[in-house]
Amino acid sequence: MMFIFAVMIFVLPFSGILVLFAGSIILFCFSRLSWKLLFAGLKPFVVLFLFIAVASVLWGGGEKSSAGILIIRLIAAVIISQVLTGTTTFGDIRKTVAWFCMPLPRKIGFTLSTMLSVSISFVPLIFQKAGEIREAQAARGINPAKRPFQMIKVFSFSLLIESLDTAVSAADSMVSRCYNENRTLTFPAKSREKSRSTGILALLSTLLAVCAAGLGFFFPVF
Amino acid sequence: MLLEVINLSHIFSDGTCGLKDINFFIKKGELVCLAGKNGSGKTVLMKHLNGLLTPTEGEVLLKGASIRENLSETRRTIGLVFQNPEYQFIGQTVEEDVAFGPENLGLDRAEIEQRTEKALKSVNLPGVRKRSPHSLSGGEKRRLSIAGILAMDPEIIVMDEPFTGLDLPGVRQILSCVRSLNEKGHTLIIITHDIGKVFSITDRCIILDKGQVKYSGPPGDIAPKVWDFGIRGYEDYEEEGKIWLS
Repeated sequence: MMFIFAVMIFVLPFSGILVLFAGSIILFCFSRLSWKLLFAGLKPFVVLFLFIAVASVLWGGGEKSSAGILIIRLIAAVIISQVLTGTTTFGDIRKTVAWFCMPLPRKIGFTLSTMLSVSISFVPLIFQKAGEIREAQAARGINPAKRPFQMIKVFSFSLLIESLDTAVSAADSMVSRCYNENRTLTFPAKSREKSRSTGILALLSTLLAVCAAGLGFFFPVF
Repeated sequence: MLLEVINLSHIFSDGTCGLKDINFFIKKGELVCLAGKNGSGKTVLMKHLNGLLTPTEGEVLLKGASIRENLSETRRTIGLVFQNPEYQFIGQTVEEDVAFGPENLGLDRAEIEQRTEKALKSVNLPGVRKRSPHSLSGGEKRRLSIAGILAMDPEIIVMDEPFTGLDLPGVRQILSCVRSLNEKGHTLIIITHDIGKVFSITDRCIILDKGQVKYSGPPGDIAPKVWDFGIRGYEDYEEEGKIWLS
């Protein structure tokens, strides 16, 4: 869905973009996310928007409207990505992986989704370990600027040992909590959440279908 | 007897002796402190209680049957809380992590939800369900790891060094949690090298040294001699206990 949206946003003409923009605002309202979240998402792009506006005035040869369209396109993209990240937890993505793998043997879907979850869980832990090792080695006089290869060798070896230790502990913990492939499948989500997610998906699908129709896939609107 | 360890020995692949002829028992509802200095074999013994390691000799009996006969039931009955809670977190959110155990038991969703709620309430972790486990404080992480085990409704809970790296409020929170679980009927085994913190609440002390059980009995009898086993002793255990329990 996001892929289709990404294509749409850059191929639609102006009228289509307006529909997509209005639709993304409606979708944002429907998702009940905080407006503060939207502004926080837009904040890092303000400089880019200003740059586009200034560039169009200086070098655009009077094509101010194209700069405006580009900014609207980018805002719509930010809104839709906020809806996606704000309404979909990583757990949902993990469970969706398991759900998509349902036609395959149950074991594969569960193993894939659990491994995905475990890997992501341990990313912050590995970064933390890497930081601690780097600081400890710097405190013992290993200077990466002077001897980069020595740094890489001792750093990567220590990190590997630490990561393996962490992996063994995690595996022990999973086994001690009865990890097996006959787990309860907790996807789709509970009915209240499910109806909301279905609503958001239906709205986005309608929006994209209208835009696709506007592009002339079905009949020329715009 | 709820749990019996009979002639348990463990020799590592490099020939090092981890445990040698360990014998002890745990009664239902007891709160036992398993103490010993670093390298005395405490964690190895803990892993044997859950069937994570295979003994070189001897066996562990749960309600009279070998734990290896039904490992799944053993792991449901004996919950392990590991020393480093961060290594134990599997879920991306607190509720997902607590639900990991019940999901493995194949329970239905309503039951999983109920157990998650109850476990989080038992360890006094309200309002953090949607947070990442890694964003919690040290004491909260430890309590979350206990909640993850409680959600599986175990009869016996084994905690490995539950006070490591915690400040005074953190230790008090864990001790309060331990007492409350014991009052609710859970059998608890606290593995530690600092018996001062649990001395006043423990029913029995088992001292491990060089992979062997050196003492098993009331904590009061061994208190003056714990220094001999590389464990910190206290002049006045009553006073020490008051600090941690108040």
